[in-house]
Amino acid sequence: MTETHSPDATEQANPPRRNFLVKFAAVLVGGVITAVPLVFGGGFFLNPLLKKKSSDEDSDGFTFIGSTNSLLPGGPPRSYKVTGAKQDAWTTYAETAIGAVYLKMDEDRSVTAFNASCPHLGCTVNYKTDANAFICPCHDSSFNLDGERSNEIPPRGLDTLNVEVRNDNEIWVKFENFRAGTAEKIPV
Amino acid sequence: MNRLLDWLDHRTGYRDLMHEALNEPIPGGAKWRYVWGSTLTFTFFIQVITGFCLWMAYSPGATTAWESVYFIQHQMVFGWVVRGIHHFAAQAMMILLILHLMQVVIDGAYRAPREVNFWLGLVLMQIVMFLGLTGYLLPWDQKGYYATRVATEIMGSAPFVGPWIQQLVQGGPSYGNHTLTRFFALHAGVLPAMLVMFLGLHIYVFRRHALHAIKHEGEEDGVFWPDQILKDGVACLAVLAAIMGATLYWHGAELTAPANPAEAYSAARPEWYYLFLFKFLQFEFVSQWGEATHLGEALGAIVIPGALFAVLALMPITAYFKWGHKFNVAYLWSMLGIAGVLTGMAYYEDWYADTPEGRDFRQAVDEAHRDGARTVALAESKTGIPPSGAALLLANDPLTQGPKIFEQYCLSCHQPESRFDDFAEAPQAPGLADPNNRDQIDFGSRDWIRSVLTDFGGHFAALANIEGDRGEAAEAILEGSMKDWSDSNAETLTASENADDYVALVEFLYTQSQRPDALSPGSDVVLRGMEIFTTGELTNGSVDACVDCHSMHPLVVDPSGLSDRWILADEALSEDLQPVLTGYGGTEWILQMVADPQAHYAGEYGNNAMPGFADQMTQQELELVSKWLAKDFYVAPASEEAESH
Repeated sequence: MTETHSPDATEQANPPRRNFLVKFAAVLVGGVITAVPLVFGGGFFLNPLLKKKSSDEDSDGFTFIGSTNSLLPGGPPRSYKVTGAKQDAWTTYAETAIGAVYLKMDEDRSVTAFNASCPHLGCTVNYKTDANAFICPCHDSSFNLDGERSNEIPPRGLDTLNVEVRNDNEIWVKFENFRAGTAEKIPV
Repeated sequence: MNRLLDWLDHRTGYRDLMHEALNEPIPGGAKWRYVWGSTLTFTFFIQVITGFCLWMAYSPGATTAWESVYFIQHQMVFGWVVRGIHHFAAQAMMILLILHLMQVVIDGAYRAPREVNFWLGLVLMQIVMFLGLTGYLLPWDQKGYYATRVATEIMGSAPFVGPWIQQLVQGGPSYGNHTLTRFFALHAGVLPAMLVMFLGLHIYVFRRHALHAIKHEGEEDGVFWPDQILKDGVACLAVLAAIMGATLYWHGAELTAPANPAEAYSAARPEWYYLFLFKFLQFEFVSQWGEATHLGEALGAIVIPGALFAVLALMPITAYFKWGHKFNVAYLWSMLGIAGVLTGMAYYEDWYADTPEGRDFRQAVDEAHRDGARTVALAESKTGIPPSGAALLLANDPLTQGPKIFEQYCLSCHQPESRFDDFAEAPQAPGLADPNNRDQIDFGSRDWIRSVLTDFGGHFAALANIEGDRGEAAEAILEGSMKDWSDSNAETLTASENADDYVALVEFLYTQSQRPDALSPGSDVVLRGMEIFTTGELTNGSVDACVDCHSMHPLVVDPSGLSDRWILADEALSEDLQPVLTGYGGTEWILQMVADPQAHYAGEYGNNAMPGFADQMTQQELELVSKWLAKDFYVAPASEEAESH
């Protein structure tokens, strides 16, 4: 390809005959032998996109979080860690930490649950008593106690989760994570 | 486009580089014998691609290495293909290295001024061999674990510094997490970096002196591009085809059971390219010389191979002398010949020789495959792999451990027919199961129950061989009331009119074991069997009712319907009688029987002929062997079973 423009063209005054077919075959063979490992390696690399996630078993997705007795009606929200079964690549955890939630009880004793992950970029938000607000330590996203955003940094309010009170005082939450950085709430 | 390329060339000079790379003259034209270096470089390229992929999925750790390799092999997209290519390309690299070395020596290409490049090549060979050695351990399976232990023990045998080197390589006095992190750092970091460096030097020096061409009369000169490149490419394609072929044929590289220091592995062998050394170390005279020279293992494993390798490294110097080159060629051929013969011997002895050692080796390999497949089946079961690692799956598996415990504690009395010859003593009790055929349990099977019911004397005849204190108890059993029952009722029970009743009684008893193929306690057959067990009334005639002598608290389907499990009925059919038949043949019944036979056979029967094992076995051993005998273990769905061969 560079022969006519090559500064060394003079050196090749008597180049041996270079058959086009030989060049073509060489490129073809070179392409094939390079492609085979790359194709299999590429598929392997794309495993996270190609492999379907195994669906959650027969459970209803709700996890026991704590007792209603641990919350005051109208009181400040409290943080709870969420533990549950988890499949992490090859390891099957019967019980391990999978996230954190904030629970808050209104005057009418209804319970609200927020995923503690900031919808901005996924840090875990803190409840600050002095500000009486949820503040994210990473980029100062702030949310009021109803979970609505109180500045423009996060794209949406804190993500609410489905809550059920079972057997009088057990709080069960359907724990889910949502995509960060979007205005809509999209489960991941 | 051309202007852009001109701009680029002006800044990089790539055209000179391309010219340098592609237009190398080849006196005498392109030849097939020049392809070896290129095929090696290409194989290394494959290893880099697949190696980076595996790196992204591998986790070096004593409880994660096997597990992550299992995940690569059985769960990931192209996982087994990528791992298989990496495995077989490593083998191909060794073969190509030998061919490359042979070509260089036979052609005399190592002679001045190419001595340094020859030495660089030998360094590369050592690096590749170490890559193979370090890579072998990484899956942390029985095979890699025990083979590599031998290699590090050899390092430890080196004079003076051996023990230190061994500890440095292992990351401590014994194998563990740091052995893996160190081997992995060597395998994926240090050694490849060194390989790239030395390969760069090797190719640079190679280009400096140009190809060592073999030019015959009348041959036209050629250039590297495209003639030699095409030949190189075709050779690489052939190598790739061989690698892919092996990968597809063997479905990738094998993964035996997770490494377990407590579990012997009688088939520990290094990779095939170290087999000659393995075989050499097996010769007794090597050990004797080692002792005589006070060098021990190091003589055969390090000093002698090192000296032979030194002769190889000195070839460029040797070649200065008259006959030097001829000596070198002869030396290489004889070394390859000896290594080939040793490898062949080792291979033959392991895989074909009809010797005790050969049979043991092949049996160990079969067991390793079986255990590997079993671990995979357990890992794919609902339990999955616990955070504590997959080795526990096997350690807690009744199907794997039960037969071993049985062999240790039970077999000498309960000899299966196939093993009669193994024991000097005659069997003292009926055979229950054969550890070599672990899926088949005779004890508590339908055949067993039929035999006890209708041929009690014959069934327990082996008890007559018991001597001493327990002999009396054995005699009591052989002449006891069950013998009488069997003798007087067998005819009625086996009468053709009562065929269905006989089946029903057997099924009722069999159901109590809760084995996987037992009928539901709610089924008509089992209910009919219970009726016979209670009343003894048959379609034609009657037998003495079983409840008159045996306690029986039968299983029923959970009446609340909340679960599909079987539970004990509220009311017993009979109580306070012995032997107890509640849960007969099930895990709990067997466990109590093994721990303390008195539990089932006390009362007016007094003693029992079988000793109790509660103080000999641990609780876990009791559970594992009982679960195995009761067929209370995970069984993979049939389709996966077929695939595991």
